[in-house]
Amino acid sequence: MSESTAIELTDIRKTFGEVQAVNGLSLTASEGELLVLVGPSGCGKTTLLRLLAGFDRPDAGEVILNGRRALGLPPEDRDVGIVFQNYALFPHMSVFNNIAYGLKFTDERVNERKRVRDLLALLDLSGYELRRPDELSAGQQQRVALARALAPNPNILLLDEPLSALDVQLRDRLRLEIRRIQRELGVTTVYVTHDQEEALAIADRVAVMNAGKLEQIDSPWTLYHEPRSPFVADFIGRGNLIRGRIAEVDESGRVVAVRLTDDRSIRVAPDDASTAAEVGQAVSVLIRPEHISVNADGANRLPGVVRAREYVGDALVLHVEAANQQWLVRLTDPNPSWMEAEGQGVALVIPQHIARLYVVEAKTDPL
Amino acid sequence: MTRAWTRLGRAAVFALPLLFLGIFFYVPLGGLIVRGIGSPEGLTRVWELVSDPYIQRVARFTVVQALLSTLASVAIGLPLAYVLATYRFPGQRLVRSLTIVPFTLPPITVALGFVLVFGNAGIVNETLMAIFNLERPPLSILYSLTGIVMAHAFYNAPIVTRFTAAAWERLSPSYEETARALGASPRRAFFNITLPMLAPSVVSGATLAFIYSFLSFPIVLALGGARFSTLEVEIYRQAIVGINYGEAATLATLVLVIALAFTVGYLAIERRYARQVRLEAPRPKRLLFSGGWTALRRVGLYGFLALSVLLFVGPMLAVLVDSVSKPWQNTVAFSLEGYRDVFARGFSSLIGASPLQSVINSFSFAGVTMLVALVCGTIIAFLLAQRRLRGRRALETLAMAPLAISSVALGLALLRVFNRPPLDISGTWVAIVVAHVALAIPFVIRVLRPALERLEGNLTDAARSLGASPWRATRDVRLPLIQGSLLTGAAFAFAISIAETSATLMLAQPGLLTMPVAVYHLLAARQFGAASAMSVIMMAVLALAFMVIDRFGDRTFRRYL
Repeated sequence: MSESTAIELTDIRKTFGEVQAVNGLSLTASEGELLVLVGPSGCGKTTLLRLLAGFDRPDAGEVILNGRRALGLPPEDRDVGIVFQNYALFPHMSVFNNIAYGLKFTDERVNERKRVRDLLALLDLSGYELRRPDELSAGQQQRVALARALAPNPNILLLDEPLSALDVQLRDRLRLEIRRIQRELGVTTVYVTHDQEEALAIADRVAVMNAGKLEQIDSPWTLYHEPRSPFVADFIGRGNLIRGRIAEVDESGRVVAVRLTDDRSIRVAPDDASTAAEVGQAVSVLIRPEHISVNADGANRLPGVVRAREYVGDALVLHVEAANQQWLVRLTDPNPSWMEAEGQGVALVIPQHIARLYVVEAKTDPL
Repeated sequence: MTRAWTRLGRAAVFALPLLFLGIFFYVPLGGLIVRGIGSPEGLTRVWELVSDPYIQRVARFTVVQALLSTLASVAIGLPLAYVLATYRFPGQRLVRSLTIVPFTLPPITVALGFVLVFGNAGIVNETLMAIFNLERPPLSILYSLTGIVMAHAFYNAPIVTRFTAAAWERLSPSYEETARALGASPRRAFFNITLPMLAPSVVSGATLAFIYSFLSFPIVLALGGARFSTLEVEIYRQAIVGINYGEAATLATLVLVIALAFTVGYLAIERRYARQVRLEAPRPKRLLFSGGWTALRRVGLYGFLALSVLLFVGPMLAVLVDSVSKPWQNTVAFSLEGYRDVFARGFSSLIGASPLQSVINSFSFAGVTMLVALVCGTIIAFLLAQRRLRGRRALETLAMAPLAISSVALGLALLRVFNRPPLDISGTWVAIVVAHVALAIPFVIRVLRPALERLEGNLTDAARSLGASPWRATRDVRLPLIQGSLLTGAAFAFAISIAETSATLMLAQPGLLTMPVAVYHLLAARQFGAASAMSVIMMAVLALAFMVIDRFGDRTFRRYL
């Protein structure tokens, strides 16, 4: 274990009754890192957070926080700050007393006033000391909860869907705020969310969870461009997972063509040759919508029909039916005439250097 | 090692209230059932009772009066709910809070009030006789089915109102507005949309009203006279008047089974209703009498409100006035004789003790009940608030069961089952207090559980994470946030003990009388002055408890959420 490892989880298991909430999960986070846990609801990410905080004990596995075995430690001895989804501000205490509460158990007690003032300033809350939680807006409550968690100077900060109760604009602003403060204080942070966009936006690394297991842990960039499984490919960003069968494999074992229907194939050139592929195997091909072009020159053309369009200001997203499947195409510099494209025939041009190709095990999977 | 001890201590604390309910509630009731139907003679008695024409008549009357009482409760409770949920008017909060008062009043006080207002020599008859120069009282409401039904409506209409108004206020007007936009008239929108959406809560309240009317005992005993008897009264007569414990036990078992069936039905309805609850913004309310009212509606509303006042306030006011007056020549004069009688130390042959003793008894029993019920109820509420606790549903059913039990049967059970060592408590104050505690525990749970549940969310977790030990987290976060609920629960337990009549009537030996039982005896002996004075003392205590409940009932959270 290197010196800079702040969190080390090894083979964690936790069941609630019949449900396997966490199923043999291992991960590490380095000091000062902002690690985002993302996954669909029920994937075990909140359970993992509660295990880190010490509210629950894993059935099996090892939890090491800052080089210290943490399994026997109660929450108050873990040096961990937590912000809950509902903030859990103490309703009978003022903002000041909420933030100062954790200082009572540290040496900071003497500097209580100054410490709270500093935090209020850091979070742009000066002047709200005497308010009660119910007299604050949702965004202010969120920031008070953050200030309260940071007050005792925790080694690790845990955030459980901290922004999910807020409206979109506030959410976008506060996530930048959280990252700014996290950078400034350098506190190791585990941030749980179900919003993949939020995860990509602020994380140093993202851990994608599914059904109690870790699917992939990587930088946002790698995750988007090199998702390791169809699940990650589908969950992170918008993507086309196109079903087909391997039509042709070159001498070095690379897949070079995928048949989509009896008479339609596309040529591919995946940048990883790792997959031991055979002709006839069922595969899923990930093609990002922004990589597809329409009615342009090039090989690898597929005729299709525009079924719907979504205009989002900076781009136009076309829903195209081609080779009996639905394709998303994102045009970042669209011609105004595309606004009337519904029902029109188009030719999709598929780039050969696609992001990923996944072998789906069942050979007999019907097309 | 220390960890194991902590666990053991915790388990002991959690086991405490369960042991209490087990020993003082389930064992005696089980014993009663075994005595009632657990032997060949018992089974013979079941057949004898079921085929006895007299018992059949009593059973029929019990059901009929309960049905009529339920109808009356809905007829009065529903319009009241409408007014409360749809309009703003001065004193609305007060009216709303007052709907909980009948629930805590001793039934015997209500009976007394009804005698004073509607009796043959009551205010209504006297007034009518004076106005129309009549020789005889024109109305004979009392000692009739009407009197019993009216008194039950006094109790149960507010329950229907509370249930319905709560749902109504939460019902977003957008449903009705949608119907209106689709072309429905206001009347159609009400019948097609609003009423069906409120139906579960109305049915819920009505079922509760039915159960309470079915099991009502002191009201029927005091207002039914010799002619009208229900199953509960019959148990009492068999046991206390006839000293016929075998038959009483069998009959009590049958009533327990019937009441259990009703309760299961009620819980099913309530559960369905709970699923339907929509958390909506509070319904905007119109100002009452803001105009746009037809003369007919106005008269209807005034008439309804006037009748409600007569029904709800009349009896209580009559008791109050009667307590400070005495007949004097052909009219009444101010007098404190009633109070003098109550605080007399001398032996009263009517109640078999000094009246003062019954006051002292009531307060002592209520004090002990409050402490024990608060401790037991809070512990159970805490357990019920743990979402992951296995067997939570079973625990809830076991702890809430006293709500649905015939108190007469509980009294009989404690009287007959614990009359020999090792637990020879029948005929002592302990039997009375444990009955009160068992009956109060469900209310303490009802008050504390929501508060504890919200706490279990993340608040204590947050405190722990900030460095507080479990005990500090309890002291700094849990206690301040539930102290209002604790106070409310205590007030409820105290009020229930003061007002409890049914079980106490079964268990009270002459030296152990409580105030409601003394009032029963005084009323039977037509000592209205003393009965009223003692009732006023009870009402004052209950009013105080009610003010505590109203002031501290879950306020901290209401503003926060």
